[in-house]
Amino acid sequence: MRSTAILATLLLVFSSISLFIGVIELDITNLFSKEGLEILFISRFPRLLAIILSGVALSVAGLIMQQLVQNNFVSPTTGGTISSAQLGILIALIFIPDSSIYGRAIFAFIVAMIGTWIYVGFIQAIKFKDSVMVALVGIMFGYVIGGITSYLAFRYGLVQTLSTWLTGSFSLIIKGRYEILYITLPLVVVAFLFANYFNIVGLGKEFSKNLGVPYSVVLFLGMSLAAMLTASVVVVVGAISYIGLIVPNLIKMFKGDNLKGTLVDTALFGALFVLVCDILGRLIMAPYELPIDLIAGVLGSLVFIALIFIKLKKGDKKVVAFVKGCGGFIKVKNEN
Amino acid sequence: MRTKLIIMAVLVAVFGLVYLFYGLNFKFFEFSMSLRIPKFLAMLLVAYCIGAATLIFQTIIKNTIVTPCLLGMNSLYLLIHTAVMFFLGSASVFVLNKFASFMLDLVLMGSIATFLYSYLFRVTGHNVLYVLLTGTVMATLFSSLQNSMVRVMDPNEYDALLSSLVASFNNVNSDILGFAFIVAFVLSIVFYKDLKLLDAISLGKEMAINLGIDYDKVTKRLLLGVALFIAVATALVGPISFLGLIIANLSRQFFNTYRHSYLIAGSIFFGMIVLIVGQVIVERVFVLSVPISVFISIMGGGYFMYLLVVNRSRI
Repeated sequence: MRSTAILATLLLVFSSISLFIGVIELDITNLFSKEGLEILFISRFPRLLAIILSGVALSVAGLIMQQLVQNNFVSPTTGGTISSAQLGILIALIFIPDSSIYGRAIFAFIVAMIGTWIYVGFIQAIKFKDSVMVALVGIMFGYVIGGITSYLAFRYGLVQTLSTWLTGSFSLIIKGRYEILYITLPLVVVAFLFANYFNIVGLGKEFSKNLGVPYSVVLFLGMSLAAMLTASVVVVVGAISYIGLIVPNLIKMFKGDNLKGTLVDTALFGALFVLVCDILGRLIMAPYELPIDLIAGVLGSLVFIALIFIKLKKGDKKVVAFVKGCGGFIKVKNEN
Repeated sequence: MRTKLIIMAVLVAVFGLVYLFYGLNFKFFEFSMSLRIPKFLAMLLVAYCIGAATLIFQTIIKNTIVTPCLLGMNSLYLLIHTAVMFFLGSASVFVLNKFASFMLDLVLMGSIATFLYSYLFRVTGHNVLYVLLTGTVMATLFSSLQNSMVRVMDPNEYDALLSSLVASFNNVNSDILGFAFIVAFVLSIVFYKDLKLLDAISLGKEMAINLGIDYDKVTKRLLLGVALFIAVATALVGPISFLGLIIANLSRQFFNTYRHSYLIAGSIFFGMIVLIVGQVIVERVFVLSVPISVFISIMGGGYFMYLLVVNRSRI
């Protein structure tokens, strides 16, 4: 519980920082003027909520996917879910050019689900000996779907429109453009309620049959849940890579594999990670901003490479030792 | 096997002639040729570089379902190229002079890639899967860094950069075409001796050492060669991710041998055929509305999935 409290506090602190970063100066003095409130409620709060909700959605989606197939390298990015959602949006744009964001979301949901199912079916049919192969196949699968997407985009002259969904960014979020993200809240609650089932299904087909859990149904439901969470982010914000991969892994290193114990922490940490990336993106070259996808891509891939090296050395214990060592180091420094 | 090679060479020649002369209006003979010949030569050179590089690479890492591009060599090249522009500015000699810029890219690419990937191999204890996974993640890292630089860059400098980043066969960097040919030729001579050792290397590390090969040194040299070949191809036409995968595997299936002289030649010929036929389709059927790299990534990805299913017992 302590970790949850720490994460929640950090999230709160960074959230309030985030509210005061932007082109228009906003501080305590002009906060309660008419203009200040307008900025706050039309731009800053929606942006903050969108950031938190997408962080939660992507990291929970990643956690569910990893738990269901018992492979820590699976995530919306490495499972083809994000690229399928993009394909869905593109299909919506081609067939219903004046579709609303909800229409696009429905297409994104459907295609993301289909893509994820195909991927899961594929990896279950082949039964890889090495868990890394599963991730590689997913990345390749994403390339293929991405290829189809860009083919359609070229064919129908939508390349520029497409690029919006290729790089995730919060810069266009204002009131009225992000509300579809609220759908992630009930989905996360459902995930929490079903957590025990997901745990059991993760242990394998035979095991769950013995316990009377309908394996295929739960797998199907869980994957659809993850796909919907991902698709809702892609529709509003665009693709943000690696959150769904890294956040659950980091939390698992410290808290173990039980989904119920890690779900809340994962959600909080995911929101925190996206928030910090977004703040960095806004500060690095203010008043301009770098899209979240780039910051998360750099930070995320560095963290991920570190994770791979740690796994190579077979030392989850070493991580703990390393962190403790850092703690000790900081203490020593403070005493000096 | 020699007949197979001859058949392929003839096919390349036939397709090449079709590409060069199909639908030619002889009134504009010289003009058409001035457009088509550079493209044609670029295709040949790209097929040569990627075909050889991928096959050598696959043999070194003993895995036939990967390409150097999966390791992020393409995005590393783009990152280096952008960084040169970003840090030195568009007025520097390394940007204004195409040869200087090309050479600088090559040198940086060669040294960074060799250092990075040989380090990766050492750290992972030659565990190919982990090298690959790290490589794919690095590809994201490189392209995110490159993208960030592009966004921060002065618009004028970006303009100058763009023309060299999104090259395709329709926009061949013809200034460096001749130069690239020379570089590829020199590289081929330099690495020719190492290529002969590939047959032995494919037997595995212990066996190769028993046969008197300085395994680590040779693989490092070959890796350097692979990086340079990829850099030449990328400099000419931009990244084509899956081409190597398709042609190297086609060659392995078609020749079904362990003699690398045949495998490499086959891979190169397949590369030429795929590129020429692909380009004809792109130009005639789709009237240039779809770039060839899109086709290649769809076909290549599908082919990769197929290879996985076929080889599943060995994965």
